[in-house]
Amino acid sequence: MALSPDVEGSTYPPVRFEVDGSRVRAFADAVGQRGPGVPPTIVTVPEIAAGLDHVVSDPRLGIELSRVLHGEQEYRWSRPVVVGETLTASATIESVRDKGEMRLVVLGTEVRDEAGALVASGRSTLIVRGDG
Amino acid sequence: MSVRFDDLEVGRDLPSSSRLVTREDVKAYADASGDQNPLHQDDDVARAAGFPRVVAHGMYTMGTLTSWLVDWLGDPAALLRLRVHFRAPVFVDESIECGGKVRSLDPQSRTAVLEVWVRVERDGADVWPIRKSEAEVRLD
Repeated sequence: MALSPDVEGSTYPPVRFEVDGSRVRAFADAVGQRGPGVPPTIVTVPEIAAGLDHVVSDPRLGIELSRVLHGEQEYRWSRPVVVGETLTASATIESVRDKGEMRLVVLGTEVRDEAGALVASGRSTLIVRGDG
Repeated sequence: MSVRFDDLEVGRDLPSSSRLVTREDVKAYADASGDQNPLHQDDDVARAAGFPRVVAHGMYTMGTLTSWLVDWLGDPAALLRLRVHFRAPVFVDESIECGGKVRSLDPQSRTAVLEVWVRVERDGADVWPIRKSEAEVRLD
């Protein structure tokens, strides 16, 4: 898998996400949160749109979605997400490493509110299985 | 009722909780999260990738672990950080158990570091889709 050298450190265009009540309820039901408040991992929604969705259509990487596995995930929250706000997420390719038949892609994502304050940051390690 | 900092003790297990992973829940997660990878919806795609049937999203499992944590904490604002390693797949129709224990306490910041895990019983053995993972929480 040949790789252009300018991939690491490059940032994808930011993506906006409106935290609407019906989406939050559907997400909370799917992950089984019973108590009040927005599920903290709702930030996965803009994170995927800002990161993974760009990664699988990035011609420099040539990654097929069906070959992607999730290796690690970390979130740090500065404050809880609230219904009604609009978040903006932007993702940066932190590193790309080949390990045997696999390629490891580390994405860092920042999720900010309308005032530009950091709400959460995420770091995903994606494992791309090779052809073998 | 929410847990308080003074209730915690290093080494103590947190009350674990189990949940059945249904195909409907995994589809609902795909729609709610926007992750429409066919590995999580189509048995044929899952089999072609070497799995017996549809695999739950890693983030479905992490989201379920987070719900267990938040429902125990009583408030999503108490969760400061969560880091997980995905070590094994979870298949639909399996039951996942979420659990953890207190690893360390910082009385000054009233924060605790928890070790958290997700366990599945498969073919009579314990499998750990998430293990040796870490959460940091702040409590009153």
